[in-house]
Amino acid sequence: MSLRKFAPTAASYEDNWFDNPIQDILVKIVGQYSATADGACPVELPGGSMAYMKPRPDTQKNLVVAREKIAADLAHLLGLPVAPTVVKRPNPADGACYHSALSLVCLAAGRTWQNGGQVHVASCFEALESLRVFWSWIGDIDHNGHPGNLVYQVTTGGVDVVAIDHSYSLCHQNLNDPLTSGACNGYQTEHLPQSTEVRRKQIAAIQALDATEIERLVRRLGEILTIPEQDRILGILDVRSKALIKMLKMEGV
Amino acid sequence: MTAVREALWRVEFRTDLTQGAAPVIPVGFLLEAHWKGHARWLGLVFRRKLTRLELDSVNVLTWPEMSNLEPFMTNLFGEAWGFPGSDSSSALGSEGLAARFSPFNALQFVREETPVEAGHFDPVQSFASLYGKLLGFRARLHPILTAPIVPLRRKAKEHDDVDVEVLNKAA
Repeated sequence: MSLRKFAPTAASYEDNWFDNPIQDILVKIVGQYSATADGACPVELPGGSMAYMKPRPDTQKNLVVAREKIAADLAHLLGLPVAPTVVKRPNPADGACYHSALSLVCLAAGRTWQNGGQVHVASCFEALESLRVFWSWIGDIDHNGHPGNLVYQVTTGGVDVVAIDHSYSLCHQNLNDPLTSGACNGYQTEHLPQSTEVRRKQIAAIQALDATEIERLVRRLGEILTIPEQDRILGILDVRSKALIKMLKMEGV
Repeated sequence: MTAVREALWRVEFRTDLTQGAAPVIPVGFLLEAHWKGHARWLGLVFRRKLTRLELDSVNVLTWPEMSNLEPFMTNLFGEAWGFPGSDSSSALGSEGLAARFSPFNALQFVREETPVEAGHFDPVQSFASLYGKLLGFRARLHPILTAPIVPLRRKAKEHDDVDVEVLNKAA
């Protein structure tokens, strides 16, 4: 069963943005930057679809953008519900004077988790627990129950979720210690029935990823990441992948 | 002169967040002014209900409150008024509420660029002036999706009626 239940219009962007990570896209800014750490503002894409653009002009730039892109691409490989992301080149025509991350809006009736999501945990625990393992792998510290970084919608078919905002990942606080942050707490799914099985499967899926493919995804961002930055990110992903079982207390389970 | 913080929010429901051209349903306007150490005023004008056609374009499984707007909006007003810190400092309760309904939500509080211009605090004029400004937004709360109107013979009114409720508090 797919955990990525995005709006039909998202399908035309998903593969294109994954295959072509850095693009020249002219956007129309249609709202204000949020007051969150890096800031994001709604933009309209040339075909009429909507996305959020970050970061705000007064914040850190390329590393934030790269973390967003790498998280989205790794989630794409794993089939996890993280908003597809592309790196947008600067373009004076739309006022963007630095590289930005465009994160696709995937749910038509989106509602942030803080506005009632917790009552739906049982309906979407597989997606949430899988994401918790993923966040633990990439050293994300901004999904420890964060009320605004998870979006959901309810349909007759169930509850769909999409994770947004992965700029606080890949050990952004301490690049020299890959294990500086522990397991992600996620959204209270750890102790639900069947979560152990979901966790086991997701750890296996991450550890089975082709290392050369992960390296390709990171290295192709050379336009915004220096070689030492790429090396450090690859090192973090490698070390944390091997540490996942211990980190998530799955030894002997 | 007393420093004043003020904010005006447009409350709207985007029927499809993934598409820029999707209909946007106007829901209300929230206006706040806070003269630090002196007074605070909060007002909300909102539609009591959406039209049937508007509701048909809302995912009510995700947003059940849209089919029963009045108690929901009344609660939000109370939440903004009682927002932690908004009674003692110069914080704005409406800002706290708006952060909860960010652009990642179909129901959004969007900051209006138009300045409120509450000015310095005048115990006689300030509240009345803000109330008047708030009422002025009724004209922007017309339904955007309605059934075709069948004209009947009747004398035209000077102004259309808008089905709205107005709440305000001062302290």
